[in-house]
Amino acid sequence: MLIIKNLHATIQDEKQKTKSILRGINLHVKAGEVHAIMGPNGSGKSTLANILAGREDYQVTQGEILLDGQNIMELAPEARATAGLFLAFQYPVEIPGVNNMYFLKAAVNSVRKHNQLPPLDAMDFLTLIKSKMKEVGMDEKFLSRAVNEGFSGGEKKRNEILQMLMLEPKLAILDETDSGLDIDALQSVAKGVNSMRDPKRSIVVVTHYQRLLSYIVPDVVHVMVKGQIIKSGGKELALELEEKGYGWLNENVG
Amino acid sequence: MSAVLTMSTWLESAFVSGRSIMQPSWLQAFREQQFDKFLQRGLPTRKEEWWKYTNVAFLEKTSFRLPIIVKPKKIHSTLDSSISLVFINGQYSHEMSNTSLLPSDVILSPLSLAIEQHEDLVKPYLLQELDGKKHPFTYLNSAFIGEGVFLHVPENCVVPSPIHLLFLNTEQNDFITYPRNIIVAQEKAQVTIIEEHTANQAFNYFTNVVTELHAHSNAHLSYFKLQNEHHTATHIANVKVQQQQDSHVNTFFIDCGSRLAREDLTIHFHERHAECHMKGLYLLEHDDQHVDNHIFVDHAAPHCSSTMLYKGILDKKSQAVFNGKVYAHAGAKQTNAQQSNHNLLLSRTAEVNTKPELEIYEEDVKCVHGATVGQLNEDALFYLRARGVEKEEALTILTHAFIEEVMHNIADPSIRNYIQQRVRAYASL
Ligand SMILES: Nc1ncnc2c1ncn2[C@@H]1O[C@H](COP(=O)(O)OP(=O)(O)OP(=O)(O)O)[C@@H](O)[C@H]1O
Ligand SMILES: [Mg+2]
Repeated sequence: MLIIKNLHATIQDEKQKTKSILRGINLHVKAGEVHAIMGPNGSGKSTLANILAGREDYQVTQGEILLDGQNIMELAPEARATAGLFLAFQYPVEIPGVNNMYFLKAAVNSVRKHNQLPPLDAMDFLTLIKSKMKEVGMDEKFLSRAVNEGFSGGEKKRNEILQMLMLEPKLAILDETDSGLDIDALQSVAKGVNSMRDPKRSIVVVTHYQRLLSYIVPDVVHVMVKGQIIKSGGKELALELEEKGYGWLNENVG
Repeated sequence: MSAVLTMSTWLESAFVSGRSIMQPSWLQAFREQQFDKFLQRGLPTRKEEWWKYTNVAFLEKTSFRLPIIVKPKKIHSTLDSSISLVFINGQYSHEMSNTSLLPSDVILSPLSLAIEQHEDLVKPYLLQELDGKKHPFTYLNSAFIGEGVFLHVPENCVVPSPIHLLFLNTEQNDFITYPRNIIVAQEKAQVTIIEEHTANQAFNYFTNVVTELHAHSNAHLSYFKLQNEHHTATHIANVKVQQQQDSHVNTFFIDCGSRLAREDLTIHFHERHAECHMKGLYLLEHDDQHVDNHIFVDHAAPHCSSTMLYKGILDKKSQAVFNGKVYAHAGAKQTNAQQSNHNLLLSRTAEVNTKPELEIYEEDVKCVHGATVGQLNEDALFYLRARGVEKEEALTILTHAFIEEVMHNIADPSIRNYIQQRVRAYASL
């Protein structure tokens, strides 16, 4: 599903100095698998997720990204989304003046258009979205509000999951979707994600906590430090990290 | 001085040739007097505070002709309105106009006809001294008074649908028109007016328009000004609003055309408890496109309230000027005034000069003002695109979001629709 080969990326900071963030990422996520990426703050997890989604602020200096065998490096963000890639953002942006329902409909219908499906009419859309909102425990009143505007941290995360459920991506990347969630919210988010698990679909969760991984059990756990994946293992690795932190891995960093 | 002379040369000959044999002597005299005043005053220069950011010096070197009469093949307006007066290159077109739905006691006619048929009613409005010193183009407009609209809505009369005044410029270049509109809403009358200026195959022309609005006590008057001239045109407008007790006026200016557009709007609160809500939207998309909104709100009576909300989106090397001034006289107790101007820059080369101003000689007032100039939120754009929304559409969504606040409360669907179309056309460039 997703193959990342030797990905290097840099960014120009405010002083126009080039800073290297990703330094040779290799990753292979097969269809049907759930991978977790863990790692200290600032190690480059969100940068990787954003580059996958097509953010142009970063310069990719080396490497490739294949989605379903297709090189997506040259694709615009919207083309990646319609090709089935979804990123649940760590910090979903507030968009005043844009109605949440209008936005969801625009998103769903552009993905449908790409898949040669007719746009959903208002009634079908409403029925669908209401059932999905129930699934993630969101009140219907959020439909009439502006996208994420004034949403609490947890409400924003639920809104991300709602979008994922509506768009039914092939590859979902969840960047710290568990951060800032109360227990109930965590459970409904996990339920939403688990309902998406499918032999034809892959999920990458970026998280700091083992807690989420006890609900969404990963096939593979990776540790990213300073822009490299320095260790990969089974679900036990997450438990080990929870217990020992990242310090013991440092000797492995090249 | 010599530059002004060049201008006055063509003006003089235009003035002489434009003399109408049909006009009554009082009007002839008024025009002569206004012409002299203009020649004495001359064009405004950038040394004048009120014209600091808008350079009209190029007009001195341009000689515009008075237009010849043409018959257009079809009308270019996206507004469907049931009551309309249409002017082609400044000339009234009876065939294109439609006033059949008008209540019978309302007078809506081209100004020239109104002068003939309702001389006593029109004369006092026409002869009112306007602020030519500050806005010399008004002298010029008075000197050349040709055509325009006279609208008189009598007491208690509610006009059921908006009245559309369409000024279409077509099939000629380098000409000048001087529309003069007088709109009177008597006590408790209600009316909505749309004044639209647009073009179809006309270049480098100059519209110099003056519109006077009179809202008598308890009248409700809504005025929409749609300026969508050709992008080589010059559009200079002066809109004056006179409000009496408990009158209620809404104004809405949308400016998307012209190379240079200058909109002066003055609100005079003569009596207490009057209200005026001003909104504006400018959408600029060409290099050298320049739109200047100058607003003056004269709080001369107590208990009046005014709000001003102008938003603009600028692309390329366009420029916008916003100057909104609220003046509260001593004794204008319980004045309530709000002003805000927000700008969205789509390019690094676009420029905005914004200045909300307050001049207050009364303690018992509540005034707030604010202005912002910002860029498009790149994170929001990325967010929309990351959900599969095409870049173009995402930009349209975000520009709509930016102006949403201005679009609020526009009840008439045809006007809403028109504005949305303009925005859509703008955002899809
Ligand atoms: N737009 C940017 N401008 C400057 N520096 C950036 C930018 N984006 C990321 N960085 C830097 O790159 C590094 C990696 O950031 P990133 O957000 O990818 O880390 P992370 O692993 O997601 O951290 P966290 O666990 O705290 O979310 C950090 O040092 C960050 O400051
Ligand atoms: Mg992060």
